[in-house]
Amino acid sequence: MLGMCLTVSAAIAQNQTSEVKNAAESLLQSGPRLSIGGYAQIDFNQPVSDGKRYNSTLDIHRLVLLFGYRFSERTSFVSEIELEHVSEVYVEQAFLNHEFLPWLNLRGGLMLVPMGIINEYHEPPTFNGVERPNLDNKLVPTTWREIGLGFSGRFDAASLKYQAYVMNGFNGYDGAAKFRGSDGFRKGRQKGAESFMSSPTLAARLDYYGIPGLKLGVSTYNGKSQSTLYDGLDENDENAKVIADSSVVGINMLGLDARYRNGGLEARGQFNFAGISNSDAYNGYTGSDIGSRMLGWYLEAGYDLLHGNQNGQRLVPFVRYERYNTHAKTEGSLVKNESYDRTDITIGAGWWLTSGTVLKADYQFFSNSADTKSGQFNLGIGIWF
Amino acid sequence: MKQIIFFVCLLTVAGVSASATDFYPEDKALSIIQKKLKNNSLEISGSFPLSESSEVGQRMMAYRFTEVGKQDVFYAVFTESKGRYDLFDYLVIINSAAVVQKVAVIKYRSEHGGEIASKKWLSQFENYSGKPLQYGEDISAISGATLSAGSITRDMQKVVLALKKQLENGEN
Repeated sequence: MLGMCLTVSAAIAQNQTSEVKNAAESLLQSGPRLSIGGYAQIDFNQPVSDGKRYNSTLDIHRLVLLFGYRFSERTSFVSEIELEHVSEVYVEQAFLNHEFLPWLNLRGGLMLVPMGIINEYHEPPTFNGVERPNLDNKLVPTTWREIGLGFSGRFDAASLKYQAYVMNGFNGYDGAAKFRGSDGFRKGRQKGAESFMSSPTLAARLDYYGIPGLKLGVSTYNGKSQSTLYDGLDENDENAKVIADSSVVGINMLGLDARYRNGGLEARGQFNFAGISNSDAYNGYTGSDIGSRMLGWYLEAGYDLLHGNQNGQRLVPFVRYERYNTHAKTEGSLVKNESYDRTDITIGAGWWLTSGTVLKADYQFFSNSADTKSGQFNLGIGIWF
Repeated sequence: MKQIIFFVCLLTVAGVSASATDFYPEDKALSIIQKKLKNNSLEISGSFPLSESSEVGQRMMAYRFTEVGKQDVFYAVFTESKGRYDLFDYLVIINSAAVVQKVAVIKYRSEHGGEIASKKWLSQFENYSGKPLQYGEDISAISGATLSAGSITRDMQKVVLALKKQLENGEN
């Protein structure tokens, strides 16, 4: 038995020193094929308002499980299963990636729309505050994902990364209006769940990180919303065509963002513009109140009081100032709703116990042009592994 | 007894498998060094594994090379670090005084964190000679690649110190 053992070892040694390696061997050498990970956000929210009492809410807002599988050095699959508010199950991502070259990857499946900072990087330890910025809720409807196909890649010499996808768009009408003034496109996300398409949309993003500590991003999204009225539409029925055309809007969205870190200082900002065409016809046909332009931005700064220490802990007080208006412009007879012109200020702190675990506390001041004021106290636990 | 032999056998096989000798074999190594340094008149004059024998983990394989017709000796260390889920491979060019000349990523596998392959970002390691390094302080932070950037920063010191030790003890 010992002899056999030595023979086997020798044979393996022989095989190892020879330079012939099959794909499976080199794959095994580059770590495990299966990755398991996830993130979670557990929130406590206490609304505060003058003259009224509210209950607080405690919620496992999100629990997301990641399973990735590497088929070869170039081909991999990533999926994320999301449990939202414990009882709702979603697929957050499910895409196949094939690398031809570092600057040319083919990617297809259910993907995050690359718009702004948070939609792509939404794991709680990556951002300040218990809740995501409200700009990334009302204008950019995070977590925004649709099924699509496209390319991504990076240029190491230029410190650039790009993504360009053809994707399915929002469901704008399926018998009733999905878009509305208060939160734009949010209710129209199809999330890859038996989604339908009447016309494809284009999403693209460029990231530049050639300046130390700074990352700049520009994102665009262009296309029409989707409508069930195009399904089975009689090509010769002009009246039906006009009605169908009134059930969609054209969307041109632009995002600019920056993230900066230097020593203890960390700052980020984002600007989003959404031009909405055909909103008058859409509102006229569906009875909704979507604006013809949405506009918003935020700036945030924080300082890591523990920066420079060796144990990996961070303690970051921060402040975020947000302005966003989902009725920046309206068309036709639609009067701007002043309460959609909002200003939010969030002040709080996060204590990172490790890079993947954080305890958060903050207070948010909400106000709008209709002079309504309210607030909310938040506590949260965030993890990412 | 049989069990003991089986166990010894397993250990032997494991020991052999952990060998670093085929982590970037010589012919592959030379073409990568030439490509990353954009210089085709380089020749390899020796090699040795750098991985600490007691520790299973980061593989390190060093090649000694010179430019044809020149005296200066350089070392190319092929090694790896771990991002969130996957390992990535990179090359560290170090001179005979154990000072880093250049760092280049050979293979980045994950969908996220590829930003660290930026030549500009990696140039921060040039002239590094082994003192403690802190990500976010000595090496600038890179958003969206925190784990990979932190891990290459941490492992860079191991690479330089391992080579330094080997050079002090006599290369081979």
